[in-house]
Amino acid sequence: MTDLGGFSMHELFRAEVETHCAALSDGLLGLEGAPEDLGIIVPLMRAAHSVKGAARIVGIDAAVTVAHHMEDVLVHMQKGQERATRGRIDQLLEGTDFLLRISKVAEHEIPEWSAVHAGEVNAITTALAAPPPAPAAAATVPPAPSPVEASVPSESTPPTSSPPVPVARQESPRRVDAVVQRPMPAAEPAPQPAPAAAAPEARSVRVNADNLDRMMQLAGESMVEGRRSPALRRALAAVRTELVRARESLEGALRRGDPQRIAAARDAVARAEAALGERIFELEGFFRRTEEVSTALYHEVIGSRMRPFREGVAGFPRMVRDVSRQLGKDVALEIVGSDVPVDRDILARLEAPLNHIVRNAVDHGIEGPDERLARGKPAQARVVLEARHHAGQLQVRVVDDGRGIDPEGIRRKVVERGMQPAELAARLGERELYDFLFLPGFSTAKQVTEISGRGVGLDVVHQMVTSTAGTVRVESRPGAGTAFVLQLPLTLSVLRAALVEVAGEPYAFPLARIERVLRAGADAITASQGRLQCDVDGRAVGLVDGAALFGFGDTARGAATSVVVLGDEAGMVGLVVSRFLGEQDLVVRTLDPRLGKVPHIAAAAILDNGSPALIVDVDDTLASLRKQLGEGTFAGISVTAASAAPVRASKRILVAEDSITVREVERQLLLRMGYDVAVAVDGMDAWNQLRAGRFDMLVTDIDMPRMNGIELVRTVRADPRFAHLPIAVVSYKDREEDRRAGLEAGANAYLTKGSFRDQSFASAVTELVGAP
Amino acid sequence: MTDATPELPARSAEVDGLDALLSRPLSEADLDRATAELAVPIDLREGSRLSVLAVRAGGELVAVPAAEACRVIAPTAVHRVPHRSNAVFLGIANHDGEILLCASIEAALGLAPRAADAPPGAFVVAEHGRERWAFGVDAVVGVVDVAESALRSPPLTVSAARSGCVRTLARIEGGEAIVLDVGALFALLRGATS
Repeated sequence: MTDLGGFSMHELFRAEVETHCAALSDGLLGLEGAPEDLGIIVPLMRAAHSVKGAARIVGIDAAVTVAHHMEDVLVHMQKGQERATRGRIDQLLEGTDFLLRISKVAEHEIPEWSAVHAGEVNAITTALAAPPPAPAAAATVPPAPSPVEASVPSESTPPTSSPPVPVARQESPRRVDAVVQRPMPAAEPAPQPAPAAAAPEARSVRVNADNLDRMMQLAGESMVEGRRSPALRRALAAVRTELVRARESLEGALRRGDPQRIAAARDAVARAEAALGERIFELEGFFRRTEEVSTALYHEVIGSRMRPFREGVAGFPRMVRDVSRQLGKDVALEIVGSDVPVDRDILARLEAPLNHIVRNAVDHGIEGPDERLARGKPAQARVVLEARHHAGQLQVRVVDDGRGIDPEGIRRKVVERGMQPAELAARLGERELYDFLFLPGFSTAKQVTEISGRGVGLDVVHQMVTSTAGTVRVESRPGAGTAFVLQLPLTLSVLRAALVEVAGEPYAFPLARIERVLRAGADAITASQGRLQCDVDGRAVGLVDGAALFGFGDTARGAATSVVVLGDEAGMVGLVVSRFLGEQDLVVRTLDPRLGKVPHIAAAAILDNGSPALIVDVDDTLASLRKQLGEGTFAGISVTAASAAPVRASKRILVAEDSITVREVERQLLLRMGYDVAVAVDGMDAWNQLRAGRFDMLVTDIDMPRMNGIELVRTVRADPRFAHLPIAVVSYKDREEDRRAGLEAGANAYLTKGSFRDQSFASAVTELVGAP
Repeated sequence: MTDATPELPARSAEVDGLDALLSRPLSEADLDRATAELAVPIDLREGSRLSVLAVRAGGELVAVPAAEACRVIAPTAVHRVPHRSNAVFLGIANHDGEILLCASIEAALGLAPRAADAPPGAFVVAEHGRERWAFGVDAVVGVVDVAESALRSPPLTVSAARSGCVRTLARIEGGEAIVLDVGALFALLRGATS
């Protein structure tokens, strides 16, 4: 039995409501499709009744009232006293959403929340108590949008009736999932506290109870195996004693030259040998068994991270229903492979991109009913969301039978926008053309109309998929439909990595994120502008020193240089490492939060030999390298020597500004004055850079995302290392109270952005930090 | 059912031998020693004694309150962390699958640094609240009970010199030991990781 003793009543209520609301949501959608099927109603009555009872126990009256009214309506339906009309289903779904929302409210906030939402409770219960709405629900469906309206990106037009939180379904009615508490890190790593509401979610994970049972069995088995080892040790020691005696006996017999004693001693040695063989056999069995148990335990632990696919897409049927109704379309969503196990982290990351693709399919890919009929298609369109394990990967397909994507439309746009010359664009195949859809900003409103709206936000889908070492591609037949195919790793907790040594310590690069590893001989390395480079498939790739990048000096290079080639669309770079150590499957371990975000590093792992290793954050490394190389704070390996160490020529100023224009103006101004300049895009970025590097001055804006300028100045001043760092605030805000707030936070100077026009900005900087 | 008393197993020769050993009369020397031990006044009031794990590090005796000394482990490889490792925060180490943050107690407290070619004799894992740190030491002396009356407040000069991480000073093994304020030490170590 699952021990839930560690949870508050409210936590249990929340888990129960989540389960019942998932059942209600699913069942109501099913009932809408088959209003005559009264068998669907009984479980719904039970769910509403259970929520009512649970809400009564924790004293949430608003939930009791709503659930009671829902139950009444369901009872009427079950008795045949009223029909499950669309309007009634809408009301019941509204009630379900309300129950789910109130269950998410923090326990101490419920009285206030209930008071604020009393009107909503009243509206829901009044509607449910009234006779069912007239069945002419179609009249309330908004007309199908014009093509121009349909071209609006789907994110900007979320259906107002969408559930605020995806409804997760209970995995199995037979087993209750265990909620396992995860200890929180002891120290707060980031200066910005996490939102309080997110904390409970971060502290517990759902684990399948069967899975937990198996883990406990295996852990017990492991302990039993462990207890066998002293007996084996004693048995081996006994054999050793036997062997010693046999040797002594043989030596004595040989000294005496007594053939009988020699024969007896030989027999004793033979017996000891046989005993040793038996013990070795037992030992091998012990090792084999131990390995089997530990491997099984490992797989169970990894398996405990898996959740059924349906949990990640539980809200999709409702979303498709709402969007299609809003658009006046008739779309059936079919989910295939809902039991396919998916790593919980991947499931969480999949939700947003899948939501986007499915929404776009309904919004733009599917034709209106009249157009479909005119094309000889059934009025009801289909969107299939399918998950399966394929070739050691998770494959997720979103297939619609809509109008498809016209590759010629993309080809025209590629040429119009100057992305490829016409003659080259003419040679591009369909797949290559579809890849353009994933480029940032490829679509515009006009183009959306031409190519069925695809491309809007797909760069974000692409980014999210590639961040999990996955791929996404499009298949389409104009007029017949479109399929988005996502290939993802089965789990994020195990990583196939290339191990290398940098500065005497192991580092791991995710195999999926490296272009190539190569051993470049002296003849393969050439120089350009005084910097070393090597040839990779005919492309010159600049070399940077891994050890220097990590801040550990320079890498000694022998006759051949070991290079890890990293790259993305923006280009490649060769990271020189000491040597390659091979490939290994690593269990990814989160870095201790006390370390904050460590530049260039994503996570930690334990190698087979028990040593810790660090997993390189390839995206961060590439971004950081580009930035540092651009700013001149880091250089490629020079011809003369391994002089990749950071170059510090003049005083260094950090500019924190979220406006790219203002940022660039400030950077150029300071560069012209002779200062070395680094830039940060917001306060948090600035704070991270300040801690990681050495700066002589900070220039910051006030209004910035994530951490504003006032918070940044306060945070900086609170750290003794920066007690004397000159800080100038540059802001559009020129009121006296703004100025006072900046100076009170700890800034040395408060300038307005008009100061760029005169010399006051330059003068203030020189006054605060001195000459470059 | 029967009321018969179950038959006891026969006493073995080992049990007889042990019985004889424990029942033997004490010698005069034993009696004198035991008397001397008993004559030492022991303050048994609650909280009157402090149990510490004493170690040698940086040429000093350093004591960690036993309640906060989580475990002593064999020396293990420490992996530096780019852009974070420094004289105080050394890096990460693996112990039984737990990735521990490792620090130099010598650098943190301003003690004499360990020679580069002298690996630590052991690692001590200390715990305060739910936070843990590991640090290498030259040797482990052991767990020692110190009477609170034998503790004394550190002079300001000592406290300042040891980064404010000294809770008290104690006489241990004929020497003066720094009893760590583990909470203050951890705050210092956290500062060294950013």
